[in-house]
Amino acid sequence: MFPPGESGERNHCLVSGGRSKHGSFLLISLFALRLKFHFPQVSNEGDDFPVDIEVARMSELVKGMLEDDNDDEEVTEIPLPNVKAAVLRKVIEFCQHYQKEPMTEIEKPLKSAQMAEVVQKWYADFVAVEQVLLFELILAANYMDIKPLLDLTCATVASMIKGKTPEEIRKTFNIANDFSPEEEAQVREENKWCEEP
Amino acid sequence: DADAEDSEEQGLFEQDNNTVEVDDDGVEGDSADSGDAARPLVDDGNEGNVNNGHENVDSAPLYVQSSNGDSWELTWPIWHMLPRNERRAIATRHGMKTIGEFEEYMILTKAVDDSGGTTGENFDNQGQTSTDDGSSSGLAAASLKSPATDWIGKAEEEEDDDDDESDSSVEDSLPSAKSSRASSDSNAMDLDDHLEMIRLGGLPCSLPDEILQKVFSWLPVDDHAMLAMVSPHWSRFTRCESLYRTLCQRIYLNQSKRKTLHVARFGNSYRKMLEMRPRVRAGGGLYVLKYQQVIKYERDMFTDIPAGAILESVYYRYLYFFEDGRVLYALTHATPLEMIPRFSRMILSGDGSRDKWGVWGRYQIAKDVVRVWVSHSWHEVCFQLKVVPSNRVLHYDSGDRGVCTTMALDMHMSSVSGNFDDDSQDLVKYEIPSDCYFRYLRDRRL
Repeated sequence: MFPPGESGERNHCLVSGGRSKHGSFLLISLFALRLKFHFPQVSNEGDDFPVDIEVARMSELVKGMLEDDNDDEEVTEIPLPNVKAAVLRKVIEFCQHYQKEPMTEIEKPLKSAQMAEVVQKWYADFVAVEQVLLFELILAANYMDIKPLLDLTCATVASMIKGKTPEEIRKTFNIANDFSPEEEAQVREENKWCEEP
Repeated sequence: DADAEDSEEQGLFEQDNNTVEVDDDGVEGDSADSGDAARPLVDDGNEGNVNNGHENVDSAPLYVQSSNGDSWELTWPIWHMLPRNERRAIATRHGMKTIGEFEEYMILTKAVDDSGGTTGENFDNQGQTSTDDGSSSGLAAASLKSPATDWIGKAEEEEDDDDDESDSSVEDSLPSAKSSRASSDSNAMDLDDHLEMIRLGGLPCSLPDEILQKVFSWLPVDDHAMLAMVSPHWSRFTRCESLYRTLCQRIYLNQSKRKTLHVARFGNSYRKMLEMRPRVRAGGGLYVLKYQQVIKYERDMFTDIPAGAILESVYYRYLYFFEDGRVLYALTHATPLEMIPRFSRMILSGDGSRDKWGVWGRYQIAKDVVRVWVSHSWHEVCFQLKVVPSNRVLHYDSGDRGVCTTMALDMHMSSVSGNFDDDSQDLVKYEIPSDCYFRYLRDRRL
């Protein structure tokens, strides 16, 4: 177990050769690497992301692993085979910012279709990314069990749906309308309870 | 061209609804007729409508089935040329009692569409994104390099059409705006993956079920009906009792007086409860009551209004319901065009925020009777409304109106002490003008 923040000093990824003077940092490494991503520290096995222990603990998955793993090494490697490097970098960026400025709870139902109106600006900008990356962030947040990030990303997808017609939703997510006419008629019939005014 | 029409429409609308309109002729219909004539007369056949109808569903919503099975778009010039009995028939089909009521509703709807993107003006992110107009359709055009080439053609056509409503689309596609540009720039997206994705119902369907449910939990209740119509894969998620149950809990546990669901009364079907049990529509739009009265002006020696002038007084009552039992109310002469952005600002800034007209309150529903209490700074007001049942068969295509979208005003009381019991000392009951209805106006900003 690491003494969290013992020296009262945070290590902001200042790592040389995988070791830091102050000890309390994590080395999260990737084994299944699909994206080549340039990062200052790249080990042979994959990309290593040294992070502050408090940041890493936001992930329930990592927290659980830390508790299981009680040795006194200064550096622990957490394998995250399901997370791509580019995604993990975003996840860490989120967690680090969360330490400085915790995210406000996003109200249900959404008050606006614009994320900037329901959450702080930094977080709204954070999720203004390519759709593919957004959905991978959701999967990563789910896998690593980071609730605030999962909330933020899910709410973002909801904001892309809110108030739109089916055709607009299809356009937003590039979905083909493969209803047969009979199916469509049936769906509409079942929609009676809240037809469009 | 389209812009000019729109602005003309809008100007027309404002002119029509001035609070006090003094008109020498005393006839208000004339100006409307001449202005409307500028709108194009669209008479495309079925095919055109099927393809593009969905796109324009907001701005040109009305298609009418004629006797030989064709459907055509109803425009104002056509409307005014129709014989009276036909106009009445159309009005009745849309659940209105009179022609005037129908016209009024159509004008109100117009206000919602024309006012596209005025809400976000105070938010700094607006500036960043408003530059890429129509980017959402750009996405459809650029990234759909698939065998479905007719899609592309269509998307490009739409881009032109979209220009006049681009304000609203930019607003909606805010989070996706950047992404769409990114994805159209980089052709990194593998084509096969992409086609597979389209087949499977898009990226959202790549998510595990429980996450998709989580995503949907942020949407207003009435948006869920939309989801099912996106694709068969989407309807799988939104057509199950467990979701209906969640929706019922969200609706009735908050709205009803007794806070119980009584699913047994609806044959143990939550879906049936949604269809049958009266409720108010929370979020996604607001209820508007428009009251219009023509008064003969009393002339005296101080009047500088010409003889024969007719005074028309118009006011609106607005109600916006929250899921959690709160309500926003306003009594004003301001048209929906002005009030919707105001309401959306109040909703964003939350409880206790102040507005020139809007006030906060709460509501409760027992059977089909809705009670609304709001507090002005000088007294408390209580309304009793009745949800008008909709037993008709709904025709989605012809822009038919749905359930729980109309409420009749039953009682209107005020009291300084806030005591509305019969023995209250300061209770004032107001007379209700006949045929006063709150109508639900959908607006994506709310």
